[in-house]
Amino acid sequence: MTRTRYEPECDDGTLFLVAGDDRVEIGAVDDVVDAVGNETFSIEYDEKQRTQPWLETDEGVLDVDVRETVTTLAHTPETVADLREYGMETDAYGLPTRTVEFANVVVDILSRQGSESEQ
Amino acid sequence: MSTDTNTDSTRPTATDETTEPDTVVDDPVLEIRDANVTYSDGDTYVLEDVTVDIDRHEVLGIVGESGSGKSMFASALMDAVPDPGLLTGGIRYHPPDGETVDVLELSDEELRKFRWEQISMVFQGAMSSFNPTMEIGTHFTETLKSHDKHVSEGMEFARELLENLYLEPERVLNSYPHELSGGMQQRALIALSMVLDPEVLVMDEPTAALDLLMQRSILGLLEELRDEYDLTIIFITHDLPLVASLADRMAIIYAFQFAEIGERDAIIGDSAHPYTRALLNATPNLDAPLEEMQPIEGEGPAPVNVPSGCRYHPRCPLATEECRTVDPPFAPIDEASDHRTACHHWEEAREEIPLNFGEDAPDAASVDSPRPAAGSTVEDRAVAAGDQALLSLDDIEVHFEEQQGLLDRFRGDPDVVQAVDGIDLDIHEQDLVCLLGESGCGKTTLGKTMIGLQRPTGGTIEYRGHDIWEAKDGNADIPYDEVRQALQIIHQDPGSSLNPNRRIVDILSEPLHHTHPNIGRAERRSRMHSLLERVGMTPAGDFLDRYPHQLSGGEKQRVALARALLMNPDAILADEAISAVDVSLRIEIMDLMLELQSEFHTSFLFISHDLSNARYFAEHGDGRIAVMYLGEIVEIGSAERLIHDPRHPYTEVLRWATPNLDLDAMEADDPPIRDIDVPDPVDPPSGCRFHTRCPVAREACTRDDPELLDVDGGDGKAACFREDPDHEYWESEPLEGAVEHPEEFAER
Repeated sequence: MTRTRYEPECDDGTLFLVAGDDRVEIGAVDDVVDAVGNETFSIEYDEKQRTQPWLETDEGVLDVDVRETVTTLAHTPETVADLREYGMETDAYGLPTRTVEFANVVVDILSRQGSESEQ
Repeated sequence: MSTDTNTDSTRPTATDETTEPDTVVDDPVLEIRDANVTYSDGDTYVLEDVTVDIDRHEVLGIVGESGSGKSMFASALMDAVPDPGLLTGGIRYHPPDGETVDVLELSDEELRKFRWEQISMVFQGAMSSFNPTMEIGTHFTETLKSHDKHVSEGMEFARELLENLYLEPERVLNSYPHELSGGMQQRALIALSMVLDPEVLVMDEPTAALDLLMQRSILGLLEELRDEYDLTIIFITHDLPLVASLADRMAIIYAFQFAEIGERDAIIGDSAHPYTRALLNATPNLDAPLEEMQPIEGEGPAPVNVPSGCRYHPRCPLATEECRTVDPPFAPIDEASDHRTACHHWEEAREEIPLNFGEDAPDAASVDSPRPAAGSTVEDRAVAAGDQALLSLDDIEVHFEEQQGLLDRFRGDPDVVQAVDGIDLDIHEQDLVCLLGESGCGKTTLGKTMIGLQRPTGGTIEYRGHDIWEAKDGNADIPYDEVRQALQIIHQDPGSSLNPNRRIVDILSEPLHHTHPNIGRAERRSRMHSLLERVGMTPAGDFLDRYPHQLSGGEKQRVALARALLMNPDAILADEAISAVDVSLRIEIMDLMLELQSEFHTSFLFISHDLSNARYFAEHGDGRIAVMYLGEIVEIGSAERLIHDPRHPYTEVLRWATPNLDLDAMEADDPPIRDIDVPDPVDPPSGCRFHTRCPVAREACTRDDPELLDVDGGDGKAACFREDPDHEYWESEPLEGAVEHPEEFAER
């Protein structure tokens, strides 16, 4: 069975995750970047990891462009189902709750790689 | 081929035999001579005096516990020792054609090419070495491009490899790493390590993240890959029985040195080093009598604290003054043999430390308590006494809906994952139930449902007669807090459940604040102190002020256990709680849990994918093993009955997948199963859910779902039509590929 996959779509600065006809609003890309905390997320690989032939890093550090990543990375239906549980109302930090939760998902995915991985 | 060898060695030797190459290796692909890895300006050794030849096309299994130096040996083979470590000695690689390569003399660029093209590795931590923003397919193309290989030809090979590893190539190639399960990521890494067609594959715990059934299947596949691609495989693991089924030769590493090396059968059946023999006796398995399994007291030394003389002497029952002062040479045990060991008293070891399995072992059936009959488990006794169950599950269902597109919603019902489906189960006071099954079978969902962490979508779960979820909603005459406190959990990875920023004293204070809000600081500290000592962490005062990262894996698990016990629970869910613990400590931790169960009057729900561990736990605790498959319990009973007289064909599969130490039964044969893949839980097979894989399935199995029925002539229940002699199953036609009797499957 082919599993559903949610692809990001950007519409006038607003990010959606889309699978077929299902379109889930995530929030403004600027807000996602704000919630992640920086335009760049650095992943540091240890000496053994950086010998992997697919990794092209500068001194073992991979700088991930957060804006590009959130607009290209696909997500699983389970992730989107979780995000759907959160509304788009503003939370205490002045950003929509779902937007902040999505930023947490992205940080979690990026944090699973590298020497300080949380995997 | 060059034959010169460096015979210098810093290991004190009685003779100069230590650096002689192995006598039976006549076509070495790798020659390692006096390899040392040091830190702190040469003061600290993390690999010491390793001299070994690796034969072309052999599978060498290297076994050691965590921190023994086995991963450092793997790094040394690729000259990839982490800074500021210094690797000295000689590592020579002999390609099938061309000149010998002195690995330690290669330039950076030569080394980059050498790695992955000649010697490739799947190392620990590789699961965290993906680029999370690249699809898996791009990882393959980048690998091929960086080594100037033809990409389209390489990708064809990649697809072949992925398919051989039971993966759907296009799905995997088009996925990002985070879209794949851990097991799929690990298999993708194995394919990535093979895509440049290396001569030598070094695998450092490559299957640790996989289910036993998949592990055993991949081991069989590795054997095929070895033959098909003329590979040499160096397989490094803590799991001795696992690699024994694959290896031609085995080596045991202890405290940064090789302690023993020899043919697989000699290491398993006639080992000479006391550590090897103790490790074999400490390994939970299905062949040894339970009472004979013994942990190894103490722990291996840290690099800064290596004992003088033989480094195993503080733990060795045979140690003499000679052992305390003279490091034994790593020498052949006789002139004609390739079996080498580093022990002054190896002959005595063979006599004084009997193995608890194999020909010389006490007979399992005679040493164990007689095979249990009905009435031998906690459940039997509780039912006979008419006691109310502690936890009672009635027709429990946990179904998860998968989200769908709008059009799909108009077309029909949403996809539903039936994680748990129609389960009845009672847990009694001081009961012990092991949930056993493959990943995705629903055992963790069921466990969490049992302790009120997962709300069921159907059926009821009661704690002492009170509906847990009614209590949570405020509709029962028991406070929900009381239920939560009574039901605790210990996770597989204690590191992730202990807050890294808090000291142990703060972590343990939290439950005490909850259970004893009025006691003073001194009494709180005193209670934590005595419990830490009880779980084997002495002196407790030293541990209380530490942070989790300052503890070993076993110590973290003891803290997690202490934290759960401080809540005075009635039941603890231990979710794969000893999987991360070293083999020699597993029995000790299981014994500790069993003792504490008795002292604290607690029930245990133990989730495991490993029948050996489940057997040890269930049998010592008079408990039951519940075998789960696709959301259902397919068999439940005492451990000994399930192992010696399994009634469900799936239980037999799990028994096949459990590595053992029986040399006669060790060769990896095909699994007694028609399809290696677990069906999609969104669309489980009709009738008996196991019928698509079952070796004895018939037409009748495709129609009706068998109920759990009492087993005739034994304890427990099984859900298989073969338990009913009058069932229409016996008259219906076998399905394609199925056989009349399970034993015929292996003989096909």
